[in-house]
Amino acid sequence: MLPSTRPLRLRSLLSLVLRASTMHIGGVATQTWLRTRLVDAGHLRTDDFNRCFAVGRLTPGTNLLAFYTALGHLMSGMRGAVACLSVGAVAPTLIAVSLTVLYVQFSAVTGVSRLMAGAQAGAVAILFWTSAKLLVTTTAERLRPGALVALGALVAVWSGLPPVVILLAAAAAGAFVLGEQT
Amino acid sequence: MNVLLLYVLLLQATVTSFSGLTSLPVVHDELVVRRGVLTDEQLNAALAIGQTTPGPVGLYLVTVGYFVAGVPGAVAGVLALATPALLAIPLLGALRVGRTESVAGAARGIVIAASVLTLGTTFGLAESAVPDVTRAVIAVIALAVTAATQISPIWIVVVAGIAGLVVL
Repeated sequence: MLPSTRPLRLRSLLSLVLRASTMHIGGVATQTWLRTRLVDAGHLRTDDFNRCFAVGRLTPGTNLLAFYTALGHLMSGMRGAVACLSVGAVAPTLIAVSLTVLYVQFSAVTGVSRLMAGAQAGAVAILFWTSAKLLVTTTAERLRPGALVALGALVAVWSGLPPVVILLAAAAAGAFVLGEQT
Repeated sequence: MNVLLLYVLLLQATVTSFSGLTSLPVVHDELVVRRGVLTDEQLNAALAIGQTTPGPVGLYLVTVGYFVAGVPGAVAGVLALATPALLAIPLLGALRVGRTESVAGAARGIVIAASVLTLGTTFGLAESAVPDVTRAVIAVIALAVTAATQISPIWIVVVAGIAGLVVL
């Protein structure tokens, strides 16, 4: 557990995580909002916040949930980790399930199907942009070996290898050639 | 589909991804291509719902789970999202020791490969999400706004939906 100058009760931390996870979309906006309320308010040191941020990036799966888990563990131990993870996952899940049920119930209505058709076109465009941007920025961190890994992945996709095999091979290659500090 | 199997498949997708939507290629491969329990249209709808829901970007897996197996499937989806996050606890210790270069390199390799895979999957999904000129125009405008501004994706998807309601 973390000794801090202004200790924060677990209930207060969970309240912050609940607000963060139901007010923002994605990791960056949420983490920026939480940083203001934890670091700037003196509940958490900058180094510790950055460590949680790094752990979020390095943990497999969703960055934001790993960040919540690390934050909870640093500030309130194992109980805090599980509690922050639970709140951070369950609250937005309830919203997602509600939206999905509404979609399933009303997808046959012409207006709703048109709304979803437009939304899907927009969502695919965003997916394309975020993937391309992620590829470019991550490759640029270690340009030559990064480009080689990207090229290898492209060839592997063309050759029809299963995605899991491609990802595991990229992890092994990355551990050897992409691990130096930038 | 058996909910436990669904959880394992979704967990396989999340464990081999290092950011929200890079789990998509594995989900598409396992549930749409190999097992046929999810359609491209449902996956597109899940992405749209996921991008208009607060919280982690990978939340589309909850909707994917619901489409495949109802509420138990949604539970499998959120558990698959949450399970890998527990690895953050030992990683906190590893970062304290400072030997993270190999882990960071492996993560970087996975992000690069996943981005390539996701781009490939995006082209496949675009066939059902952008089947005509009108929706292509909506997609191009959404792409331009995403690239040129800091506007949150939620508003871009909402406005694209409203545009679909008006012009489709």
